[in-house]
Amino acid sequence: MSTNSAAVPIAGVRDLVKIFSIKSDKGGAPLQLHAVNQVGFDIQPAETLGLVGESGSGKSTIGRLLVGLIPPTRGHVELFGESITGNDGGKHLSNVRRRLQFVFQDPYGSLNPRMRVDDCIAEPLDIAGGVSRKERADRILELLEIVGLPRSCGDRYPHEFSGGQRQRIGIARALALRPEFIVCDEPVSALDVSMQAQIVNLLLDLQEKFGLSYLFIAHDLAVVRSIARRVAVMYAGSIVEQGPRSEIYRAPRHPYTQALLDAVPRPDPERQRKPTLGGEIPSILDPLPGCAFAMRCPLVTERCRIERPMPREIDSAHLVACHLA
Amino acid sequence: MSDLLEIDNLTVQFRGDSGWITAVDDVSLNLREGETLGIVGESGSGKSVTALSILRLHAAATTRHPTGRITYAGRDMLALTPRQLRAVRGREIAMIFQDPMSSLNPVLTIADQISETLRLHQGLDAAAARQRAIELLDLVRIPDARRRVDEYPHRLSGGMRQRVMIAIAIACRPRLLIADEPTTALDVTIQAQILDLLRELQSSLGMSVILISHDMGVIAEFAQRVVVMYAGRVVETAPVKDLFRKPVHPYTEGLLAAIPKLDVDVIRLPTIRGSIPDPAQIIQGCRYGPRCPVVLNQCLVEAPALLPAGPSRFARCPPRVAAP
Amino acid sequence: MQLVPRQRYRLLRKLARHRSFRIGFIIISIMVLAALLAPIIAQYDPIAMRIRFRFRPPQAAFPFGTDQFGRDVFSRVVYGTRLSLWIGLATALISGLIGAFLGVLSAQYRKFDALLMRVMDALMAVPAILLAIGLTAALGPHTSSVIIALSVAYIPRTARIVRGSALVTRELEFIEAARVAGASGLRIMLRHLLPNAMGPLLVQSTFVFAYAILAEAALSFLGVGPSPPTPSWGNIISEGRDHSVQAWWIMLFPGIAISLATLGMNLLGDGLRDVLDPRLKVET
Repeated sequence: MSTNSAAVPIAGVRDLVKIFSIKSDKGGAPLQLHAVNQVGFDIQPAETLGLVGESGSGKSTIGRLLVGLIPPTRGHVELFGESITGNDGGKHLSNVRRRLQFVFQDPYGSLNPRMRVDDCIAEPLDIAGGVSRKERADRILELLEIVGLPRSCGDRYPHEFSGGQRQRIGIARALALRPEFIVCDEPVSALDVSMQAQIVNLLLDLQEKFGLSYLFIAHDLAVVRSIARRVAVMYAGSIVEQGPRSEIYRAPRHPYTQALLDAVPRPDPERQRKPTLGGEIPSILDPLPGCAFAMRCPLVTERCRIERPMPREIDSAHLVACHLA
Repeated sequence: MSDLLEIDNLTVQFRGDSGWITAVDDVSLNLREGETLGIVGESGSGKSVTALSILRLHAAATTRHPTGRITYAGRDMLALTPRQLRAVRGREIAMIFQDPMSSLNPVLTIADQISETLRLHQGLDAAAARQRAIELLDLVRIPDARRRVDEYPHRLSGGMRQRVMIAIAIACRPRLLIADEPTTALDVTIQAQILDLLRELQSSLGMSVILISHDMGVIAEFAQRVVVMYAGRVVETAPVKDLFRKPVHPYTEGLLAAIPKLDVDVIRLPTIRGSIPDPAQIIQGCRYGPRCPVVLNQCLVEAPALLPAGPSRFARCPPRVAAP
Repeated sequence: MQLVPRQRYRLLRKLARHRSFRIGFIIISIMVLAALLAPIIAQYDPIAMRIRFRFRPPQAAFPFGTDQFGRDVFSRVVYGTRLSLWIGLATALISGLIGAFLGVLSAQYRKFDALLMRVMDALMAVPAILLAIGLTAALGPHTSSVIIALSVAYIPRTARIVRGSALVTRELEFIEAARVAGASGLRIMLRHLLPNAMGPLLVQSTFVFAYAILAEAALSFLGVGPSPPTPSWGNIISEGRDHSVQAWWIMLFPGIAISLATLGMNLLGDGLRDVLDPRLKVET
């Protein structure tokens, strides 16, 4: 799937499936929520993969599966060349734990309000252990500087900071153990526009400085374009299209990608939007046999309703899951 | 066209931990009959507080009675008795909010919630109100309205709930609809549908609309005239095309530049330095001064006035307005 | 980069402005001072009997009168503050510590929760005071057995409250963040769940403090409280019971002391709840 097959990917995901069982509000058998449905992608060293989709697309579930917060139902996840889904998966996951971090969406909810900022930042260090008091203090100052916060921040509490500053604290925390790969789950979507750009630029700087790889999960296509070189578009649990940013944004091939790009309002009053895509995001409770997008697709054919389209490489490293592409 | 709504020198203060916090400071704006006005700003800009003031919807315990004047169709809104105010709310001026889930009562059916407004303001009986509720659901394009009308809000998707909120809002054919971040909680494709619906209803019902949003894209697509707010003050107001073509205030300029671009590749986004000031913070002179890239000494001393900056435009930036 | 102004003493300032907290604080402070300075404040030995002075009504020499053994009721009430406050404090501390521990434990470990909460439900089905009577009767009439009995009686309530708060906290994102960082269950309990339950725990503890003072009086009245001659408010009342018609003052003044202490602790608790509970916080 990758263009450079020589390098070991930071993350390799194959046929990943996650089904949540939830209690039915009418009683009876539990409902099967197909959150992630046969997803596959690779992330190369020092690369950013942008994962975009609307609510219920399964993008956040993928992030949580990748860092082992929840176990997959089926499929394979390899991190740094080691499988975390096989028999020794748990052991491998703890081996790679230090090299893998997570940045959360909510800069208000993801920091413990009763912990001082320095303790928040140093928590991964404290858990990993083996750090002297002096090393810990030095590392905290270094991290504060890296993310552009004043050194005096350490003895304050999270509520004293604005959303953007808290997200910097969350990033400093993620960097504490010098990871190679960070999963960013909607890291800027709770922020104001003038703060978003600062955080996006910070993430870009950090990538350059430390050679980080990111899985950047977001619903905002424009934000993803500003940070990811490769983009995967999700719809109702599946990746419908993935490829280089230049192709996804300039020449989208999947009808959903096209509709999604068109639906985003632009800061340009003179722009004429094409007719809006009708319908709603389908229920992922019991997926229909065919293409998940068939109900809303303007180009739908009989085949789309019966046979589920699998990703096909239509161009170098550009995959589309559509019979018509 | 005459002004349907005029806000003059509105100031709203809340009780804070230590003294009064000014959320809206000397805001003036006007809305013409049939016009769509966009109010755009980031958090703490005072855009929602301004809108809530029109219907005096603040918690009385924590808010000072606003100063200034709000004139709606010749009436002084700040002087209305609670009874007069209730007659205006929902009937002449309707409002929809960001979160369609918490705006609907989870234990009442859709029919109950729409009928409530109709029976209250239009004196319809139960059967007529139900019939009208179904018509309204049809009008906001809820498929299968006859069946959906008896469902509870949790059975509906976010987009459908917002349609129900819109149905309730337009039930009494208001002259003014205030939409406070109506699409912020929705997905992009659903947002586009709701904006289409609002536009359609506006022209068929002849409403004036105030759209409050943090999203410059939504504003560009929907509004005819735009008010940009920052830290409780209006910094710029202009017709939508002029504003996006050539912003006058450095804040508007910075904000537009900082938006991630969907149609071009940008290596690094330009940013606005610093962060949005806390409402409790007192800033001398121009509120944007500490973050402004073209700040002058005079800006940090004297609070700038809102000055004419071209045909039907105003900006609160004397250096920019004076120098062509 | 500018920051929001420092708010370190924000809670203390808010408490200081809270009217009922202020009143409660003053009442309790006076009582604590009375307990500490009892030998200075009380003019007479609270235990030594002087039959000559028995049943003197309140007067300049004996502001609260004297009892059937001629002991100064004022001195006994002042000394009684020591034992009553100690029972309140110890009960609040013990039931708070154990209740908090059990509460976060059952929030963190769901299997343990199912078991523990059934036990707690069973304990709660018995009124606290009945449970305490049974336990002190079994353990004997000592101060320590009163404290143990009352602690056992109040642990289930405290555990419930802490568990409820921890269950809410558990769903917040920073718990997930800690798990991604590899935090153990113990660390999540002690560093994350417990500190975030401190507000409700503190409020509950002030109420337990007040209940314990009240319950001590009830236990003494029933003859299973701390045994005389060391005075507690409860056993002063208990001893005055037989003479309530001729010497009303023996029961009245310790009764007032109990009411004031309970009121004071409840006011403190109300103040803490208002200030610490974010749901009641004024939106700005």
